[in-house]
Amino acid sequence: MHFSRAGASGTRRLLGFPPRPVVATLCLVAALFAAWWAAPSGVLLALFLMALAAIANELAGLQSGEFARASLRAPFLAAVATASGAAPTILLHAALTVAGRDRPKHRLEAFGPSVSASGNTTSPAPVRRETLEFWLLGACAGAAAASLGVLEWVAVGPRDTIAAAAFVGIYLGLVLLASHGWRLIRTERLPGRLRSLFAGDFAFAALSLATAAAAGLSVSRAPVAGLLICLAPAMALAIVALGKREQYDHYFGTMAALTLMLQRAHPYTRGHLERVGHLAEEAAIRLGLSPERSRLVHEAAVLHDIGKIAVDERILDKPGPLTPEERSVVQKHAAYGSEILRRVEAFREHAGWILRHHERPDGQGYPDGLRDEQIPVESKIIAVADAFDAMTHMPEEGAGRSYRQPVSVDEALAELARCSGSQFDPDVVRAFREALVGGAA
Amino acid sequence: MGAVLAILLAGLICVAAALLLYARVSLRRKLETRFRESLQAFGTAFELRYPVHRGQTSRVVALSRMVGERMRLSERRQRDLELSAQLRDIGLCALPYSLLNDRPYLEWTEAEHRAYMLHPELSADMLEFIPALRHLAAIVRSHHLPYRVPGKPASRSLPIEARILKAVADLVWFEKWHGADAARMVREGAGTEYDPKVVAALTAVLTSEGVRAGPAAAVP
Repeated sequence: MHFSRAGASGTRRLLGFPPRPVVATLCLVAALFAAWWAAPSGVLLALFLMALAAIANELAGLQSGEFARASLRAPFLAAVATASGAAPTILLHAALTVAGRDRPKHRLEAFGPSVSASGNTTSPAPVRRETLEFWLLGACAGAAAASLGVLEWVAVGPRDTIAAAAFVGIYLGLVLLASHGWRLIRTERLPGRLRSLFAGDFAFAALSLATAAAAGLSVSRAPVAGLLICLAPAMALAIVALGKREQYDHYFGTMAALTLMLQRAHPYTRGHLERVGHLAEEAAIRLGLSPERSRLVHEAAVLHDIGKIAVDERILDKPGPLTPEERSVVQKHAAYGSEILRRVEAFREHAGWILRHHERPDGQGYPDGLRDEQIPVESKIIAVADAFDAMTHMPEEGAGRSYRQPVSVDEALAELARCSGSQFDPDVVRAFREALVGGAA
Repeated sequence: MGAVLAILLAGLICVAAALLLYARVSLRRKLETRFRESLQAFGTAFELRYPVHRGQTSRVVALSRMVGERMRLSERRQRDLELSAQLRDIGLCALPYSLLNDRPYLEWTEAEHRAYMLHPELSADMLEFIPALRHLAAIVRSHHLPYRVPGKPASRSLPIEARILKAVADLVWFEKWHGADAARMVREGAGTEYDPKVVAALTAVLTSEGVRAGPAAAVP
């Protein structure tokens, strides 16, 4: 017993409405609804509540009048730290929600690390709101869980701490199984891809459960309570994860349907889109973009030609040079693509990149002839991957564009190098080459 | 110890309740928004390719929704109906650009009509590829099938969503090419081409106010 509990007298006092526990419970409920109102994700809420549970636990321990001794205990402080870390985020989120739908992104840009992809130019990469929250809360919860763990180790010894760690492992496994196993079985996606998809959720689940287990450990003399503390959030998390999964399903359903429409209209895009997607993701990773962002580049690359759906295939498949009018029709596809995707909030970022994927660093591109530093690095990556694949791959049988012969990988890389600086960004071309041939070539 | 447990349990119940609420209310609302947005994306993609269809999809979706409401479909069916109304023609993307854009419908040859009528199959085949939309394939596949084939008993096996879509899509199509006669043409087809119940609901929807002010049908 690491500090004396109130025991039966505590129960009596609770039933007799002594002020502190009642106030604590009321605060807990109020904070809960405040959090729910502002919570951008259910996992955030779970995390926040774990901290509150720890506080409630400590407050309950205070009944016996050992305030001075109990308040010195680090779990309490750690819980307060978590809550105070979560509070600014929640307030920020609430303020942004109130301020309007369009503003958050711009304001949050100030917080984000800027992706310096091409040395000289730095386009401030808009940080996704979820990413920011993830890091803020993750840091708070991680610190809280770690300090709880260490202090419990000191207070109650290694045996209980290890037992609690085992609890965490088991319940974490349960959550992951419940929320992702089914999807894995059904879609047979590669684990790597799944991992990157759900990285945020995974980490959230792990951290909140670690916090929960630590809170559970502080009542380690009451195994049932410890169990419930771990199990209830796990169940709730699984429910939220299921909802999230539906969201992702819908996201990919939309993407797949749009891609299929394009492939039906222009059969040569079959295969091309997948390859460009993979190439672009590899290059993005090589350039130092985060895995999350590289995944978005992959998706944008798959959708980059969606605007061609609105272009007559007789023009696209026409052998030989195009007339100026025909060229202007083809060039509209970038704008069409972004017009289609702009409708979907989840694709709004992709839409911006797709609009710019035919811009050139020398200002000769379309639609707007932007200069080098105005072009998002993601668009530059897509441009390089697109050009490379168009050069190296023979279109499918009878699918148009057959007037061109594919060139070898070396020739294509040489061509990219020749055009780097004018048509392509030199740094992107370099990263692309490295991603392709491995190592610095 | 009892007090600790009581407070913790109360807290946990709150956690679980709040998370459930979140999943049921907030997440659901988000999903709904995303659903509508992606519908718009499909509509835009489609209308950019076939400007001649501009405004049709949104009208078909709006009318199907009203007919569905009038026929008291369940929420789930209502949703499927709306989604298939939006996606029913994605197979048209596989047809040549010139067929729909350069030649008016009334001048099509027999072969061109046949090619056009392949589109429910094409759309359904495309939907089969997408796990989240696979259940719509049956509706989309039969959305141009007649209600009753001469010499055979009335088909009840067609999904109700498909029967509604058939009537609504044809009405909007007729409105474009035949103007004011459209509603009469659909009414005449009741019992053969169209499910009489659907036609009754559609007529009621059309006569109610607000819909009359829909996009005016114009004969080019």
